[in-house]
Amino acid sequence: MESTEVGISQFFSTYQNDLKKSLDAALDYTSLLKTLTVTSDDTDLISAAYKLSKYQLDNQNIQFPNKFSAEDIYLVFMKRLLELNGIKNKFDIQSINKIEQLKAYFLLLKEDSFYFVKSTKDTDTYFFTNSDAYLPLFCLNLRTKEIFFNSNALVRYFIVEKEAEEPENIKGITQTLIKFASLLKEKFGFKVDFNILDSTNGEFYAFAAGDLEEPIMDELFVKAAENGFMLTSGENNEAILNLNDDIQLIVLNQNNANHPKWGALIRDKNQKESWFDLLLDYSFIREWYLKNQKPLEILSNSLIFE
Amino acid sequence: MDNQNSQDQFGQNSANLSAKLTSKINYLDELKTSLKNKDDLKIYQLINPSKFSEAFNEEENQYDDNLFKLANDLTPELSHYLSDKLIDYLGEKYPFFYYHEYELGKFSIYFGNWWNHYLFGSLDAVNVKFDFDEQEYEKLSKSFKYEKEGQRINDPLIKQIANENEKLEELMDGQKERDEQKRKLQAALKENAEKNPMPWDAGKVKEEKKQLDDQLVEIERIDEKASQAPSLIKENESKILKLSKDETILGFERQSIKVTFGTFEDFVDQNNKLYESYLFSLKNGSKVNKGE
Repeated sequence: MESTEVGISQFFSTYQNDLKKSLDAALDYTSLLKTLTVTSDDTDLISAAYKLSKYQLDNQNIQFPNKFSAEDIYLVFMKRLLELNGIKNKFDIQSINKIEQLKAYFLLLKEDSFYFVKSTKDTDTYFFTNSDAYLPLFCLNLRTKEIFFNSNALVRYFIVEKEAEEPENIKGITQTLIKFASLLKEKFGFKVDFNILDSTNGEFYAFAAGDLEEPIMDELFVKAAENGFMLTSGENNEAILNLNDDIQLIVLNQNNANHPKWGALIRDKNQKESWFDLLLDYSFIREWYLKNQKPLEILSNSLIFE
Repeated sequence: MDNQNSQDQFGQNSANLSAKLTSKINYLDELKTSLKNKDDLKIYQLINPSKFSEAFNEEENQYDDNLFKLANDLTPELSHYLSDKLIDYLGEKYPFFYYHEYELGKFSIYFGNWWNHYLFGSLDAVNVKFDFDEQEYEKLSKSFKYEKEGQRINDPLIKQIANENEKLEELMDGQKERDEQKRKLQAALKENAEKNPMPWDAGKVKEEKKQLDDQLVEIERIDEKASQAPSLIKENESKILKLSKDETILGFERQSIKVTFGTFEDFVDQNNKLYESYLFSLKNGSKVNKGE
């Protein structure tokens, strides 16, 4: 009899402790949420975002029916990091009245909304995608500190689906994405693959096919000529296309004839033009690329995106 | 007397021989000295004396044309040597030609530095002469003629193939309609087969079946053609691409000639007097050098 009473008080005590722990956790959660939404410190921001994305708020005693998902936390983090670093009025989160999945939009393209989707392969990888068509523009992982852009989705979404948009608006949006990735790289040492958005001169955009059939280059030659540009051949059998503003597109085999590895380089003085920009700026290059997309596709990290 | 005479003859002969040998030695000596002095003009004179004197309107030919036979086997080396200054000169006068020495003293000419430029012939450095590929040269010449009439060589063929493709596409587009027709014909055939005609109508029913069968065969024949259309269209597209490429290259070739020479005729004129022009420039160049 006595032993049972002790048992009950023991139980109550454990229960109270558990409950208190849960409430403490909830308090901790709110303080992290506060940091996420109001801090002006980048490091505090990313640390809060990562913790929140992993937070297990519910336990057997207390369940919170209304809470933000890790996907939402990633979206808020993105908006806040940009905001803290002076990128304002470019990217915002749609207003909500109740707790629901958060969606964001670009001010240059208000009709489309974006959100993060958790990868089915990796628990810490989140895809940033347009909500109508599942086209993951990039993937972000706060644990491994990686952000990779997806060339295929960037082309399909911005170049094909948004063909009617002003190229300058599209560039404005990709600039915001580039800025976000650059901030992650500079501030927190993230590994970044800008892929077709990379505008540094040394970036080799490798074609999927490796080898390139002659007619594909002939097609570029003819199309370029029709548009007043001459595709010339360089000293090492590379194809050189001199475009406007001293921009040079070079298509070359980086390996040898037996093990070909064809791809492209873009040279410009200001290192501002990327493969993506070329596709936007020159309709004949875009047509050529889309027509021959299978062999010409610029590769992305296939392990993650396929 | 006889003895004396024959001795004279022998003496005469030796003297002749000796003189000839001396002239050969002198010739080779002069060639060697000219080479040492980098006197390309003199070398050209020694290689082809009569052509040289003709070029400069000299009445007398100082050298025997046959003497170059002595150095004939050295043509590759001489050609290699002479190409150095010659290609510099040609680089200015014909900025659109590119040379490739594929073997000692032998140069192929490429027209332009554009992608897929054509091999346009070879350069004969010893005779200062272009040996153009006849086919390419003819094509270019023809292309200039066409241009005057506002036409392009490959256009009729491109148009013809494009039309062919259009028809093939129509054939493919008509598939749905043909399927519908087939369905109707088959239904009609079934109906025909179910008919149990009176003997006097048997011929009519049989005739109807034959007509239906014929129509069906005809549609199937078109279906067969349509099934081959995609690969034919692809083949035609690659033909068009080849022709367009050819036309694009001709366009660049014409443009180059117009920029440098004005007209094709002026280009031809310049080619015909290339030897003279080059040697004059060597002469003037050496004067300028000596004057300095």
